[in-house]
Amino acid sequence: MSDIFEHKRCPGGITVSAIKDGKFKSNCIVIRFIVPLKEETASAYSILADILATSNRSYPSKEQLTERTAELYGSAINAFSYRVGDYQVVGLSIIFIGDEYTIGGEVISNTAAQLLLDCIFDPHLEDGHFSEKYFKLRKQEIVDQIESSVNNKRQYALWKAGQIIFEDEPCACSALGTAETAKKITLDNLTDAYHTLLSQAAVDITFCGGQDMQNLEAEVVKAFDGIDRSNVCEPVFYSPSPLKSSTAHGEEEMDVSQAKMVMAFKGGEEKPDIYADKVMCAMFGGSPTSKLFMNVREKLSLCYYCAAGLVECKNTLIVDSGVDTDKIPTAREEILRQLEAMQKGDFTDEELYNTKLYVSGAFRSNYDSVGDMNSWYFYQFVRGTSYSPDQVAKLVMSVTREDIVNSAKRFELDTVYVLKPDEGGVGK
Amino acid sequence: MSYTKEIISSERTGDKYSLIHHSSGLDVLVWKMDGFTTTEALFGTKYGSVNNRFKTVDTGDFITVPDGIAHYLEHKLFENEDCDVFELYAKTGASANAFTSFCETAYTFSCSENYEESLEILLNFVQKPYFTDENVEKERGIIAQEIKMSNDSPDRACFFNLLKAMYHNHPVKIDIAGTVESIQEITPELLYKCYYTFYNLHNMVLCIAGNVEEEKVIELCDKCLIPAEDKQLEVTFPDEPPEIVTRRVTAKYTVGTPLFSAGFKCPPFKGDEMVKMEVCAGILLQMLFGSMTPWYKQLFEEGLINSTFSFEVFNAEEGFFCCICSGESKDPDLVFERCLQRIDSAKSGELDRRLFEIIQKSRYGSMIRGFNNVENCAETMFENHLQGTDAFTASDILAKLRFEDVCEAFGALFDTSKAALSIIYNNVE
Repeated sequence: MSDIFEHKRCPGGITVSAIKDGKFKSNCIVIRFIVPLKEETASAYSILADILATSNRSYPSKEQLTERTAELYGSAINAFSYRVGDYQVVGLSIIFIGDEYTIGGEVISNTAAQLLLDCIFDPHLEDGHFSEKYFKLRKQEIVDQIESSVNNKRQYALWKAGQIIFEDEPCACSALGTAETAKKITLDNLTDAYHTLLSQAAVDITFCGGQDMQNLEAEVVKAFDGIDRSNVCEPVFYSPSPLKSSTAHGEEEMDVSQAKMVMAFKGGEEKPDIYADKVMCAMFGGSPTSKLFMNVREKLSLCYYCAAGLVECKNTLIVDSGVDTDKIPTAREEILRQLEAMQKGDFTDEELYNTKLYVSGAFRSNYDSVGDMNSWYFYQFVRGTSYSPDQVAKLVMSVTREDIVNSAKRFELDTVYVLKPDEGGVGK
Repeated sequence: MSYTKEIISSERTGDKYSLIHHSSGLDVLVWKMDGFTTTEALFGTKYGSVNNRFKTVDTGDFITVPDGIAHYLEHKLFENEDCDVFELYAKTGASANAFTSFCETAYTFSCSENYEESLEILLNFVQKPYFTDENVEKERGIIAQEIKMSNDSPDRACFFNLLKAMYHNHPVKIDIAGTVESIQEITPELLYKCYYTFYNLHNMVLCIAGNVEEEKVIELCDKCLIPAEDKQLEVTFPDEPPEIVTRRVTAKYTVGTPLFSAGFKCPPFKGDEMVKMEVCAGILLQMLFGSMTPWYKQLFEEGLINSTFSFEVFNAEEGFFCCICSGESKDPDLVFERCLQRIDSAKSGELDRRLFEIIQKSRYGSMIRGFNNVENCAETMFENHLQGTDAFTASDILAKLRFEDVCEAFGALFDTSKAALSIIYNNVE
C-alpha cells in the first residue's frame, strides 16, 4: 500500500501525481501529452515521441542514448502513443533503480530525470529542425508498423471493426494514424507538431517509486516554465458513441484458418456508473467464470476465446471471439442470449458476489507495480476522480444486482464485424 | 508430515526465500515480500511438450506419446469430477490460469486476499485428475481451435520454422499444442499414463511469492498433499547432431513487412554451466547486435532493420540451446549476411571490453527491477528450481562475470556454419 499519494493541478493545464511506496526498488516517471485525436496529426505525434525517446542534444543518436541509459543501471526511456476516447496520449517514460540499490551508493535519480527532460525539452536539432535522416527512418518505420497490423489477426479484426463501430468519430483513427497520412508528413510538420505539443497539449505527469521524488517533481514542472501555455487543450474524455439506426455489418476475407468475430454494443448518452459497468462486463465476458467463457467456450465449445471489454470513454461494450466459420451464426446468437440473460437479471447472488470479489482483487493488485500505479492515477485523472485502488475496491463491493441489470440493459447491438477465411485459408 | 528447510539468499540485494523439502516428496519455495498486496502461486511439474518419450518403474520400457499431450493434460486437469476448477476459484476472487511450455506445466493463481483458500484449491485439484471419454472428446474441439488460432500467427510460424531448420530430431521443433491430427490420438488412458508419470510430487514444485506466511503454506501442504512414491522417472531425447538441418526456410502469410528469425545453434548445457552460458549469450547478443553497437546503427540507418529487431537466448537443460535474432526487414537475407559478417569480425578480436562493462551494469539494474515484481519472483523461483538452479544463480554469475569469460563463451556459442534463417514473406503482392 502506498506510503504517500499526492495529486495536484499546476498552472498551464499540468496535473501531477506522486506515489511513494517504500517496497519498490525502482522508480518511474511518466510525462503524458494529451491532444485531440486527428487522422492528419496522429502519425506526426507518434513519430515525434519515437524521435524524442531515442535522442537529445547531448546524445544525438539512439546508439549514444542507449549507452547512456545502460550506464545508469539499465534505465529505460520509452515512447508511447495510444488513444483514450477521442484523444491521443503521447509521451515518454523513464524507469530507473532506486539510489540505494546502486553499487557503492551512486546517485542516479537526478541524472535519470534530467535525461528524460533533455529528451523532451532539449532535443537533437539541426538548423532548428529534427534530423532529416532520423525523421525519414522513423517515418518509414511507422508506415511499416501500420502495415504490419495485419500480422496479429485478433488485433487486426478489432482495429477494422473499430473503424465501423466509431465511424465518423475521431477514435475510429488509430493512434499511429494511417500509412497514407504518415507518408505525407514533412520535416516542417514534425517541428510544428513538437511546438504544438509543448504549448497546447494537456500534460499529466506521474511519479511512482520507492524513493521520495519531490525534488525531481519540482524540476520536471519547472521545465515547462517559459513555454506559453495560455491556449492549452482541456480534454473532455467522456464522449459516448451514438447507436446506429440499424446494426452495421462488416466482413473481410483473408488467408486465415480461424474466423474472428467482433460485436459492439452501445450504452447510450448518459454517463454511467463506471464501476457497475466494470462488474457487469466482468460477469458477462471479462473473467474466467463469465457467462461468455462458461457457456460459449466451455459448455458449447463454440469459440476458443470469447471475451468482453469496455471502451469506457465511448460507453461501448465490445465482444471479440475466435470461431470456426460454420459456427459464426450460432456463436452470435449465443452471445446475444447471454447479454439478454444479464439484462433479465438471470444470475445468482453468488455469481454477483464472486465477480465483485474478482474485480476488486484485480484493482487492489495495482499496488504491486510502479507501472500499474502510474497508469492507475492517469485513468483516475481521465475519469475526473482520484480514488485509490482500495477505495475503488470498496465501490465495487457496493455494486448491487439492480446496478448490474441497469448497466446491461443500456447496451444495444450496434456493429458485427467478421474476418473469415478465404478459400485458400481453410484448413491451412 | 515433516520437512527440512534451506534459505536461498542473494548477498547483493538481501532478498531471500525458503526452500522446504516436504516429506510428501514435494519441494516448496516461499518468498515473503514485505509490503506487497498480492500473492502469486505456481504448482507445476517438470513436464512440457518435449517430454514425449519416457519410462518409469510402471511402464517398463520407454514409451512414446502423441505430440501435444502435455498441453491437452493441462486443459483437462481444470475439470474436477464434480465441477470446473474456475468455479471453485470464483469463490475466493483469485485469478487462476495455467500454461504449458516446452519443458514445464504450471497451474497458477494470483490474488490480493484469501490466498489460503486459493492455495487449498490449487493443491487439491492438481492432485485429482478426472478424465473420461466424454470430457476428453469435448476438449478436442477447443484445443483444435487454439491450434488453428496459433496457425494464423506469422510470428509463431517464423519461430517454429526456424526450430525445424535447426533441429533434426529434438522434439523442441514440435509446436507445444501439437497438431489437429496428433491430438486425435489422445485418450483418457494416455492422459492418465502421462499424469501418473509426471505429476508425481517428486517431479513437481510449489512456488509462492508476495503476501504470504510460510507457516500457513506448510500447514496447508501437510493437510492437502498426498505422499508420493518415487517412480524412478527417466526421460530420453533422440540424438541430435550439432549441425543444422537447412540454412534457409521460407513461408508465405498475410504480413506487412517480411518477418525473419535467424538462429545460431549451440551445444546444450546443464545446471550452473548452462546458466553461465545463458548469461554470457545474452550479453554477447547485446555486444554483437544491440542498439549500442555501430552494427545496429548502420543497419538501422540503411533501413534494413527497425525497432522490432530483438534477440533472445532460447535454452533448457532438456537438450537445446540457441541464440535467436528476430525482426522485420525488407531484405532478411541481407540482414542475415550482415549478422554472419559481424560474428566473423568479432572472432578476429572485435569484442569491446567497455561495452561489456556497461551491459553488465545495465543487466544488474534490470535484475533489481525484476525482484520488484511478485509474479516475476514466483516464476523465477519456479523455472530455476526445475532446471536445477535457484532464483539468484544468474545474478550471482552476472556479478562475478569477467570479460574473458564472455570471450571464451563466444567461441563455444557462435559458429556461423550452424546458423539458419527463417523468413515469412507476404503472400499478397
